[in-house]
Amino acid sequence: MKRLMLVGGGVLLAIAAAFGGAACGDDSTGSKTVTAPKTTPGAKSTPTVSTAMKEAAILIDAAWARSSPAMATPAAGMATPASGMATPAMGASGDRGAAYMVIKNSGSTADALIGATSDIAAKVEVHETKLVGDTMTMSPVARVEVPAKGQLELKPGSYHIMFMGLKSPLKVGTKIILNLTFEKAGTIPVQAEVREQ
Amino acid sequence: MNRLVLQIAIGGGIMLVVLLAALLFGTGTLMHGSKTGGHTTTVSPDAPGGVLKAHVYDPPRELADLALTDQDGNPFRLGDTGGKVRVIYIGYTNCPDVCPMTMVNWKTVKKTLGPQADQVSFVMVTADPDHDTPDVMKNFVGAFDQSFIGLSGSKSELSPVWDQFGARISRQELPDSAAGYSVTHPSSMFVLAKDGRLTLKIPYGRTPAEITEDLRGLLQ
Repeated sequence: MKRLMLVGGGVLLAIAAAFGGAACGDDSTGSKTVTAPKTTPGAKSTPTVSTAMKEAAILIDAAWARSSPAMATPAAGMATPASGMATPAMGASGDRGAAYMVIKNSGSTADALIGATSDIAAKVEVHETKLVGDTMTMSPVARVEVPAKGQLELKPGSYHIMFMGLKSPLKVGTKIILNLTFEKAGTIPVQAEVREQ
Repeated sequence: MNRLVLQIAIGGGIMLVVLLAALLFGTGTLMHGSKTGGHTTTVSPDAPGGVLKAHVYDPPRELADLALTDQDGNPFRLGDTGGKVRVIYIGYTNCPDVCPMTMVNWKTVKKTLGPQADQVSFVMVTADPDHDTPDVMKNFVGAFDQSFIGLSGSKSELSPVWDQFGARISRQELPDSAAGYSVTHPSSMFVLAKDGRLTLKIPYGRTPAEITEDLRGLLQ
């Protein structure tokens, strides 16, 4: 009699395993993603169907860029740096900006943000602002992980996309396009609205 | 025969309950993502130890009589407040993230203060004298609010001012980045009371509403 109870339970467990497996295999992408055809960076073989099923599914949400000051002409007259060791920073003052967003990974494998590009600026990089005690530091990062079934948030005071050599100031109410490069998911275009905060 | 059926039913029923629970939990995690996943940053309004509060200098500190240059090229003494509360931030214009954010927060604070805003002045002091000339400061702070003041000077003029606030300023060369360099600077805002003495240090993470309240304590 007990044996029969076990059999009944075992059958249901088998059904559960099959059902659960199917559910886990489904990595549905949300409606907000603008997904480019998956191009794997570097020389790699074409993914097989089974590899494709394992690829992380990246969705980018709530993307925005901070409006930036109008460009100044390089300082002329008035006062000049007294140190005499001025290192020319890229371009004119006001040619830098930042963008923020939430990168969601609904897949079962981790991915990583490894870079960014945009037509709006000469150079685009991923940077991290860090609070160390009482002090703010900022440095470029080559790679930031987006965990499986998790997310990476780019926000003020933390990871952000940095624009250098902006071709024109970022104006409130406009939209910009940038491309994020991921280790596995390849290049994904993102539209960000320009806001003050 | 009935007993057999009953026992299968019970066994199956228990497994069904377990299965349903597993499915609900499992799909719940799938739908909403891992709550513990994602990057945790070192920057958070919920700092370890609880709510971030403004640090009160007790007694308030007299500042040395040091002159810097304002955005119009005129000498400017930080301690000469002209009877206004002075909010000071030490940052740099090539900073794309927290420095512009602070300027925008100042705009919000100024707006929230309403008529009391007349009693407050907002002053950014550069941590990057090599790049931030008065013209550059003027372009930067002026883009946020024409009343904001931007101070610059030579490194030898700025160093003692930075020291007054215990600021640790250093420039990092970034050879692998188009940014070229970044500058480490304080995260807090410093507030001088109307008499020019250093009275408050407002930590990073305090919201514009909280900063406004900190300032209201020093105003009429």
